[in-house]
Amino acid sequence: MLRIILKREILHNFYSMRFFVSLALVLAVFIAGSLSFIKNHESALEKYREARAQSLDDMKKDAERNATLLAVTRRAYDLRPRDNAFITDGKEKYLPNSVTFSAWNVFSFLNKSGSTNPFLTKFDDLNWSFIVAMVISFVTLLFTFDAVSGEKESKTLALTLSNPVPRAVLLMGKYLSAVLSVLAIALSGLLISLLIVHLAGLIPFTVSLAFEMTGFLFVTGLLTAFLAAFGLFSSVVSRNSNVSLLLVLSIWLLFAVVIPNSSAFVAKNFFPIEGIETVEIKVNKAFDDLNKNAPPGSWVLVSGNPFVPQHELRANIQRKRLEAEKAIRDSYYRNMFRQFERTRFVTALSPVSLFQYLTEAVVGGGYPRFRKVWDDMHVYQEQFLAFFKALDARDPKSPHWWNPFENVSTTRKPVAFETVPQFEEKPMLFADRIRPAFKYILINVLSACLVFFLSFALFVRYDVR
Amino acid sequence: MVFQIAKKDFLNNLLSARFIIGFILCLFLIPFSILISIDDYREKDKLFQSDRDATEKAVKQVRVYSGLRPEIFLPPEPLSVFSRGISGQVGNRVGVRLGEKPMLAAGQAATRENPFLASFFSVDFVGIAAIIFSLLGLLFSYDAFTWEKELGTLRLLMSNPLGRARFLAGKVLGILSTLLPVLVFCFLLSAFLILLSKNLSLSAVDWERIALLAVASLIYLGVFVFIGLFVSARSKTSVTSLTLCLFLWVFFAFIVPNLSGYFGESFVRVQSRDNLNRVLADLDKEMRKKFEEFANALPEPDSSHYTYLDYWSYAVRADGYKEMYGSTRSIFDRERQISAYSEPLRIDYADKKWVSQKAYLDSLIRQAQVADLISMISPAGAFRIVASAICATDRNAHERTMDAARTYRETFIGYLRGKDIFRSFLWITAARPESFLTIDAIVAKRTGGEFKTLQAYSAWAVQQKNLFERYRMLTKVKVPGDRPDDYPHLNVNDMPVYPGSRVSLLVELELNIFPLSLLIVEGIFLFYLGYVAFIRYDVR
Repeated sequence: MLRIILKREILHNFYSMRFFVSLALVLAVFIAGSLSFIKNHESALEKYREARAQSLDDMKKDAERNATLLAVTRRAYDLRPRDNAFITDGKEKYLPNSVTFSAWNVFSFLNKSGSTNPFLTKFDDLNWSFIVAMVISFVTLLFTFDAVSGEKESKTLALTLSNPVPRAVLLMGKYLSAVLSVLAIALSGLLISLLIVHLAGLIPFTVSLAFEMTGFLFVTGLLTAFLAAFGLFSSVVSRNSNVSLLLVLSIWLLFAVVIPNSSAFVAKNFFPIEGIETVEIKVNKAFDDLNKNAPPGSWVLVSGNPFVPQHELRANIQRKRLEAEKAIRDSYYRNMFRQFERTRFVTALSPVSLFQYLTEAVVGGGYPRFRKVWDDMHVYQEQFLAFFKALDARDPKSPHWWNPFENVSTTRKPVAFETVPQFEEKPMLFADRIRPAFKYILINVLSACLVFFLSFALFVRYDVR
Repeated sequence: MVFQIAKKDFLNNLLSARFIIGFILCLFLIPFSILISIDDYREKDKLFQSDRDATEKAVKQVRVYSGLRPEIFLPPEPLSVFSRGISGQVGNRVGVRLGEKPMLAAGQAATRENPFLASFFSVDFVGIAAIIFSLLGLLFSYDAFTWEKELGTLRLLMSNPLGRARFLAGKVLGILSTLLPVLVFCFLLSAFLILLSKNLSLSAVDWERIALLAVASLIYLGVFVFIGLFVSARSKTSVTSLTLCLFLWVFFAFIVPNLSGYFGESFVRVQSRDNLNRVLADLDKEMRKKFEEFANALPEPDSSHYTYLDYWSYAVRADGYKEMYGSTRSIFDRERQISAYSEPLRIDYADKKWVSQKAYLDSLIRQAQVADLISMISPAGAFRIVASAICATDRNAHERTMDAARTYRETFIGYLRGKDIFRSFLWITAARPESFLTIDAIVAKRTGGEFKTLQAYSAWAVQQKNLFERYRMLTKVKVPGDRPDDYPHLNVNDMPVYPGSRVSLLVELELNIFPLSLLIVEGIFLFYLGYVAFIRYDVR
C-alpha cells in the first residue's frame, strides 16, 4: 500500500512545476558555486603556500643562527585552506585561522588580517552546505506545505480516504515522497558540483571524500526529514493551503533567518564572558606581583654576553611570568570556547543551524577543526620544547637557564633545520568528527520524530471533507 | 471606478490570512532587528567613549613632541541601527603615524570580544526589511489576476465597460494601500523603539534620513509588487504564479546577496596581505639601515661606555618616539641629530609605502565594487546599497573618513614642521638644554660625591662582579630632572584637531545615484511589463 502511495506522490512531485523550478535553481546555484570555488580555492592555496614557505624560511634562518632563537621566537601557524571546502567552508574565513606559538607556549589565536575583505558585507560562500541550508530547506517546505490541505482543496483527499487506506500510511507516503524528491534534487546538484570540481583537477577524488559526501547526504536527509515534518504539520493544522503556506514561510524565516542571525545576541546576553580588558588587567597585576617578589637585579640584561650570572634571575622571573600569563589567558580561552559552544547548542533549536554544525563535523572543518588544531598544537609545543631542552642539555657551554622569551642564557649552537619537529595538521578522525556531532544528530532525529508524530496525531483528527 | 476596485481589494486583503500573518511577522521581526541593533550600537558607543577618553588623557600626558601621536576614534553612526553596512567589519580607530599613512581603520570592535562570534552573522533592520517587504510585495500581488480568474469574477468584471488599464490601476492601488500602512507601521514602530532607548539620540538630519529610507523602502516594495503583478499576468493559475514568485524571492533575497560577495572574490583577485606586509617590512628595514648609517657617520660622543649611565632614562617606541633624561649634553645632541635626520626620512618613507598600500586598498575596493554591481541583479542588493548610503555606513562614507584622516595626518605633520620640531631638543626631552651636564658632573652628583669623575667610578666598577651593584652606586643620590616625572606635561592646545568627514545627504545620494535610479527604473519597467502582459491576458 505504502508503495503505491509513494509512487503516486513521487510521480506527482516529479511532474509538478515546483520540482522543475527547484531543480533548475538548485543546479544553477551548484554550478555557479563550484566554478567560483575553483577560482577562489586556487588563489587561496597560492597565498597559503607563499606564507607557509616564508614562515618555514624564517624558522630555518633562526635555526641556522642558534637553537635558542629558534625556540623563543613567536611564530604563526596558519590553517591550510581546506580542499573539501566546497562541501562547507564552516565559516573558516571568519573564525580564528592562525595560531601563535613558540617552543615555550601556544600563545593565542587570531583571524589573520586579510582573510576577508572588510569592504564586503559578510556573506556565505555558495558551497553545498549553504545551498542545502537555504534553498533545499525552502524547497522541502514547499513540497510539503499543501500535502494535506492542498488535496483537501482539490477534493482528492476525501476520495483517497474512501478507499481502504490507513491515514498513517497516507501520511507516511506523503512524507517519504517529499523527502525522497528533495533528496533527488540535492543529489543531482551534488553530483554536478563534484564533477565540476573534479574536472578542474584541483581536488583528487579519494575514499575520504566519498565518505564525506555520503555523510553530507545523510545530514541533508536529516534536515529534509526534520523540515518535511514541519511542512506536514503546518499542512494539517490549517484548513486551506494558503494558510499553511504562510505558516511554513514563517517557520522557514524563523529557522533560516531569525535564529541563526540572533546567535551573537544570544552569546553576549545569555552567556557573557569577561572582556579582554579584564584579562589584561589580571595579567598586569600578576606581573606586578612577580616583580615585587623578585630578587633585586632580576631585570639585568647585558647584551653581548648571553651567559652573565644575572641572567639566571632574569630567566627565573621570565618563566614565572610565562606560567602566570598562560594560566590567565588559557582560562580566558576556555571561557571563549564554552561561550561559543553553548551558543551553538542553543541555536541548534533551528534545524538549519543544526545542519550547518553537522556538516562541519562531516567534513572535519570549521570550529571542530580549529579546536583540534589548537589542542594538537599544545602536544606539538611540548615535543618542540623537549627537543630544545635536549639540545640545550647536550651543550656543555650553556648554563641551562631557561628563558622563554629572550635569546640569552641557553645554547648558542645552530641546529640542523631538518631535525626540528614541525607541526603537521592531521585530518580529523571519524571518532573526532562524530563525537561533537552526536548530540546534534540526536536532537535532529528526536525532534523530527516528535513533529511527525504531532502531525500524525492531528491528521487522525483531520476533517478531510 | 478605480477607487471602487482599490477599495474592494483593500478590504479583501485586510481580512485575509496573509495580511494578518504578514503583519505579525513585521510585528515580531522589526523590533527583533532594531533591538539587537540598538544593543549593538550601545555597546559600540560605550567602547568609543572609553577609548576616546583614554586617548584624550594620553595626549595630555605627553612630555615630548616625539610622543605626540593623535588617535582618531570614529564614533558609531547612530543610523547604523537601521543599516549596519560595512560598519561592523571596518575598525573605528585610526592612528596618525609619521611612518605610515592610514590605510584601513584598526581596532575592530570584533577583536574586543570572543573572535569566534565573528562567525555568527547578524541581520539589521534593512536586512529584515529587504526580506519581509519583498515577501509581502509578492504575496499580495502573485494572485492579482489569477485568483479573480479562478473565481470567475475577472470575466464578470471585464464584461463591464471597464478598461484594463483602470482595472490594473485599481489593483495596484488596492495592494499598495494595504501594504503602505504595514510599511509605515514598521517605521513608526522602529522610531518608537529608538525614542524609548536611552543612549541613542538622533538629530533632525537623522530623522530626515530615516524618512528617506522609508521612501526607498516604498520604492523597493513597489518593485516587488510589480514583479508579482507581472508574474501573475503571465501565468494561468495561482499555484504557478506563487511557485515562481517564491523562487524569485529566494533567489533575490537570499542567493544573490551571498553570490555577489562570492563572485566578487573570485573575479577580482586581491594580493595577499602577507605580501603587502612583507613589502612594508622591507621598506622599514631599508629605512632603518639608513638611520644606522647616519648614526655611524656621526662623530663619537664622549660616552662613558656604560649604557645605563649614558642612557639614564631612555624610552623608545615604534614610529620614532624617543624620550630621554639624565644623559650628557653630547649624547643628547647626538640623539637630536639622529632624530633631525630620521623623522623627515620616515615621512618620506610613508609616501613610498603608500604606493603598495594604495594598490592593495584599490584592489579591495575594486572587489567590493564588483560585488556591489553583481548584487544589483537583485532589487534587494540595490536597496541595501542605497539604504547603507542613506545611513552613512557604506564604503563611500568609510573611504571619505579615511581620506579625511590622511589629510589630517598631513595637517599634523605640517604643524610639527611649522615648529621645526624635529631639530629641536623638545622632540626628545622635556629637559632644558641649559641643564645638560658633563659625564663627570653626572657621576659626581649621582654617587653623592663618592666618585668625582667617570674615571674614578670606572676604576671601582670594573672590580665589581655584581652588575647590579655598579648600577646601585649611581642611585645614591636622586638627581632632579633625570626622570620624566620631574617635568610637566606638554601643552598641545595648538595641535590641529581632526575635523570629521560627514557630508550632506545629497552628496551621499549623488554617489549612489546608480542603484537608486536602477530601483526606480526597474519599478517603472516592471509596471510597464505587467501592463502589457495584462492587456494580452486571457481572462476566461
